[in-house]
Amino acid sequence: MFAPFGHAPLAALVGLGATVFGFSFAYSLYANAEKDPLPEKLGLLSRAMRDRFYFDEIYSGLITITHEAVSRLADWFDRWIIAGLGVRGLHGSTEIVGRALRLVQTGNLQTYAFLFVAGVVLVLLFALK
Amino acid sequence: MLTSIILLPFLAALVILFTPRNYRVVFRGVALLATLGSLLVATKMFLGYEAAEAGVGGYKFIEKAAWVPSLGINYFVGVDGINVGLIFMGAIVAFAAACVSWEIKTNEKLYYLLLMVMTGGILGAFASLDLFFFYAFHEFALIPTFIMIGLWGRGENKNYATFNITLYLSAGALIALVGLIGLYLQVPAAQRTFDIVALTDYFRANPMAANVQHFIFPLLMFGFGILVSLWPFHTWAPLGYGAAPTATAMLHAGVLKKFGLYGLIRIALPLMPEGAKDWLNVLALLCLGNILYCGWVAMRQRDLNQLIGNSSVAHMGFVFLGIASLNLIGVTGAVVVMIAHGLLAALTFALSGYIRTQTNTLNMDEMGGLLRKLPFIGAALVMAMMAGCGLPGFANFVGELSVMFGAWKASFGHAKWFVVAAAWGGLVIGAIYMLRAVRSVLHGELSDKWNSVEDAVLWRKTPFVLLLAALLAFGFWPRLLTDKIKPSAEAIVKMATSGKAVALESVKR
Repeated sequence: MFAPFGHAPLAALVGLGATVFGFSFAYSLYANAEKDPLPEKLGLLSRAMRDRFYFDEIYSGLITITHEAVSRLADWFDRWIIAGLGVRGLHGSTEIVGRALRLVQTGNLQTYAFLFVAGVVLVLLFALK
Repeated sequence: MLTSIILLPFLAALVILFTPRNYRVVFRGVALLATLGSLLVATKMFLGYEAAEAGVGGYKFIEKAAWVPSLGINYFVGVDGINVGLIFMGAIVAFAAACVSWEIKTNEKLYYLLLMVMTGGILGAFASLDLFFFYAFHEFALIPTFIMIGLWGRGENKNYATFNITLYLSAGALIALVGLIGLYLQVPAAQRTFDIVALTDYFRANPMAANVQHFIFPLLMFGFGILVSLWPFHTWAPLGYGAAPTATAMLHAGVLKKFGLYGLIRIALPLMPEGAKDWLNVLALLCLGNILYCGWVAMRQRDLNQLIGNSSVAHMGFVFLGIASLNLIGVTGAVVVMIAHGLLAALTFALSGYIRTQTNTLNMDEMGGLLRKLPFIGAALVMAMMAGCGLPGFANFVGELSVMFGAWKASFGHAKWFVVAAAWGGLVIGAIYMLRAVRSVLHGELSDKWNSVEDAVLWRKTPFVLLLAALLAFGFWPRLLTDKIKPSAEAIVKMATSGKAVALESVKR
């Protein structure tokens, strides 16, 4: 429990001090107060404090112009280029080649005999050249 | 001990095979009992790992039986620090997957039969120390995956998803097989064996020629990489998991997918240090595609399963990064992420499966306010999403942090800053889509159409509680894993960096 004080005394003491200060300051402001005294004293600053100094809005805006934009691009690329052109393209071109090759299977013996002889002639041509 | 872990699901499959098809309670009961039995034995093994006596090659709980001596094929199982945790995680996920299978209402006999074969195959693949069984068990698990997606899958894309995942993963497995056969043929005919321990010893004494390694390593890297959805070979994963029945998605995304990573760590790295040196920089760049690109893609998804599927692909990037950094902390972290992500992926798919059975949709635009109707499931989903962002306290944090340290220590040439900054950026992207998913599913207005949605009853909470408990246990007490992994990872890293020349200078630093 006290290990932080031995390990890094300055940081631990500052942290503890900040807590004590925060508690006592808040107590002096709000104890017995009818309404929040800060807006009158600080004005605009108090409004910014209430809105967490607009950090949430800054983050949200930053994410919209950076990550959100890139993620649209990545999603488009994934959908159309990798899954579409790449995977579906390979699938489609294999299918087309298969359909085209199916037409060669005519079941006509004369055609097969002709193709066979043509093949033999081609092989001989290359072999005897 | 290991044999009984693997055999129980296979025996259950046999019992289911010989049971008449209308005995539904029997199928479910047998499946639950068998996976619970495997889990109990695996727990005993995991807890007794330190005390067990080490045998050949430092492996423990070894069991060996000759099968085809003339080809050097043996049934040979054993564990070291790398796979003991994976088998334990696999057994937890298998039991959880059997638990959530209550959603299956058609053709239950075939379903539970396939589920048991898949479980046995998965556990066998991770336990095998024989290349032949290592590969064969993996196929035993892979084929039921395809059939289950085809028969009990969901959504309009079911058929395309089934063909896609079948062809893609078969292609990956075949490329890896060519690499493994190439590896086998590098041993002189008289000494040829499928025994991984003997192969490791052989190549330690007689390193493979560097130019041969240069060709075999990428076969394993891309073959195994496809099985793990390495970018840009990842599109099967979200598609397949989106269509798969819950238990199949849990087992595949959680456990079976890790097979490729395990193969890289167990076989590719130690046996081919020169090949690793040539190719790991490529892996380090491709894995950024997983971490960043798939994270961005996940941000745009409106379907919860697509989001989880893409995020699981993104998480695989961290494992690849740990492997690519090729130092002790990186590889240890990679194994921890494998185990943590296995539990997490199973948990998130189980939760999304539960939500789908209740709402009949996973479109996040239609949901909202469900936390009011689903206090338990919703809370578990928030915890799972937080674990996915890498919140300390969950095992994922331990693994991802170690991988970051590993990547920082590794020398990816001049790209080091870029790699580490990009991986850190990936965590931020993860937080964006995880938190947005929590917001659109659980918070906001509750639509009237969800009035009939019901939270999980006590016994249906079991799988979720079990998976969350394991994530938290390893998160709070990572030494349960790291103390086991470190010695084994050290041996592998030592072999992988023993290449004659440069190695990674930073490791010595």
